[in-house]
Amino acid sequence: MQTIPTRTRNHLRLGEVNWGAYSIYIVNILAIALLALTRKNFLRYANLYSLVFGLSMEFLLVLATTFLLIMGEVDLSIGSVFAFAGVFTGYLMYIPELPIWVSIPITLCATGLIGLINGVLVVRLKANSLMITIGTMILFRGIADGLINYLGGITYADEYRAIVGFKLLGVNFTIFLMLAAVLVLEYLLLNHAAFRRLFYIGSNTLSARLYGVSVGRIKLSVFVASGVLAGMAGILAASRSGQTVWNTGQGLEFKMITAAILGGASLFGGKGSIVKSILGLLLIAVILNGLVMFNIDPVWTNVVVGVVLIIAIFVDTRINREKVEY
Amino acid sequence: MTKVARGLFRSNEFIVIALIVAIFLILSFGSSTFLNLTTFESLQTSIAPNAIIAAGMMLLLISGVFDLSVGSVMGLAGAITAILVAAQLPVYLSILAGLGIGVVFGLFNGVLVAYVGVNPLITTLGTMYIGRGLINAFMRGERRYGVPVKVPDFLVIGQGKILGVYHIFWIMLIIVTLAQLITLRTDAGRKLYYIGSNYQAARLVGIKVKRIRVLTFILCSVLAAFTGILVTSYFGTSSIYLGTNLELQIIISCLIGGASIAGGKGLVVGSLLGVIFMIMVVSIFNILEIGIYWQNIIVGIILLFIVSLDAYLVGKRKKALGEI
Repeated sequence: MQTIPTRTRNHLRLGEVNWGAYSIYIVNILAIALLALTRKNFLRYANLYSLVFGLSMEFLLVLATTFLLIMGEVDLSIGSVFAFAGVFTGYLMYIPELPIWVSIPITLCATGLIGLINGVLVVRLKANSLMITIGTMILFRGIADGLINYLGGITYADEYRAIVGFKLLGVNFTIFLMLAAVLVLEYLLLNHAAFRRLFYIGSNTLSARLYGVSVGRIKLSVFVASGVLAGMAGILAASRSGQTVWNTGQGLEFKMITAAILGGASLFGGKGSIVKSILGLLLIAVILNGLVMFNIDPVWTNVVVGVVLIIAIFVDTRINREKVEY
Repeated sequence: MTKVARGLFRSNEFIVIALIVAIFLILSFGSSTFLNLTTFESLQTSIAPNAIIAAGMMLLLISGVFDLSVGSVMGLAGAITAILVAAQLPVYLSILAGLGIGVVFGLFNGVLVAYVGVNPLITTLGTMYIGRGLINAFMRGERRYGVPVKVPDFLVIGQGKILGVYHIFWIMLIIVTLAQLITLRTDAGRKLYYIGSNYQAARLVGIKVKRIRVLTFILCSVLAAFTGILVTSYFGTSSIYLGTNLELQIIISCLIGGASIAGGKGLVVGSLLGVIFMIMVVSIFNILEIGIYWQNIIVGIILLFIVSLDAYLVGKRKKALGEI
């Protein structure tokens, strides 16, 4: 039986601290310290700001991934939904010339619908969420490519591109959004009954069902939330770059799974933390930033992400080994 | 109608054959350009590579796992072989090096999945990224636009013909026949079905499940690498895009041909039929000149349909056995 994390008020002595739970903090600090000591450009304000700003563009996706992983499910379609949301909003504003406050809700409804399709197929047919969401991943990559082709490389309307530039106290609002969302969701995840159920489902679906948790409905709503969050992230990213291209969002789903697993989530479900997932994402961002700082050819990026993914999963499987055997 | 005939008509393979014939007839009558010699030549060279990889993938699917890195392995093996041949290394050594890529990737995947216990999807996804990254790393600068090979000894492998049919196609037929015979007529082949139907039970009756799993992964990767070499030889150049997005198309072909994600069922012949079906679907798009993104949309819908149907059938089977 695994322990489900709760907020504890006990004061532990140093020797009793479970250092494994803090490894993501330690690795982050080590990586940042290494870069700070060897590269003097790293600690420049502009670099750190762009690091955090980039993080605030992608954190919505890691939220969705973490919630699903806690329940033992995966959504691989988020990268495609991300691209679709960006180009679909652009399409709505360009062809039917809808105002932005109509386009964005329509897009988010559409991406929520994608999540609903995933959820219904996974919950009702008990299909493997990996395979189902690979299906929607290919499907919506195709639809996004069709729209991109149709729009023919236009730059999006000014009010669309202005969203991401909105600043509070000289700082992009997405950074505040990230901080607020992380604090609130982490608090809810550790304290609120509705969120605790995610852990019950992930640790043992059958017993959760026996204790009256409506597993199907919760899974369905989290899949819908995953679609909507991916849609929001896609709109923000498209607003930042001004256009959507054919490989926008490709491979994001794996980056997010890697981040969440670096942050202690498990493919076997029942574990996960929002703060640590964000730190996992930060670690990947720092590593990629380090590659740039050391002038390493960007072609190695994929290799590095793949290796980090395998190492993270390797460790995850060593820890949770007894549960499943392939 | 006898029981055997009814079983035959309801089998997956029969349905796929019927679909292939239907598409073939539609294309023959619907398009004036379909029925000619060039179409058959291009069908040979588009079916054969996919069918070789699908044969290996089918063995994995029968035993209950799959491999997403085949596209990257194919591309990497093709790239390495082309670079070595272009560097004047003997052809057989270059091909061995290419096949070696397959062995390394298969061994890595197999050991991680069987001995460490990592989820096969995530493992092979990681190696897919690593492989694709390595392709980009090896094919930098001038090589980005392809490494042309002009050594005749190498080119003949892919471009040569026997009785008017490409070598690749003959090789594919041999591999599919061998794989089919192995799965049905040998102990090792039947063990794949046991492992796929019930892993724990297979282990308990003394089948060396882990060793077989690693060997199956290696076989699948080597076939993918071999295909990469054949295709590179056919085109006379290597490309950084070789094998991109191939893995899902292969898995979908196998699922159409009667495999199940849950494992334990399928025939290698079915994977060949699935590949022919998918190639026919794609050729509809090409003949009707529909944009490439429509292919993705249709492939996605087919995959969703197949996986849902598969899950539904598995659920029904489990219910009948009283497992739920």
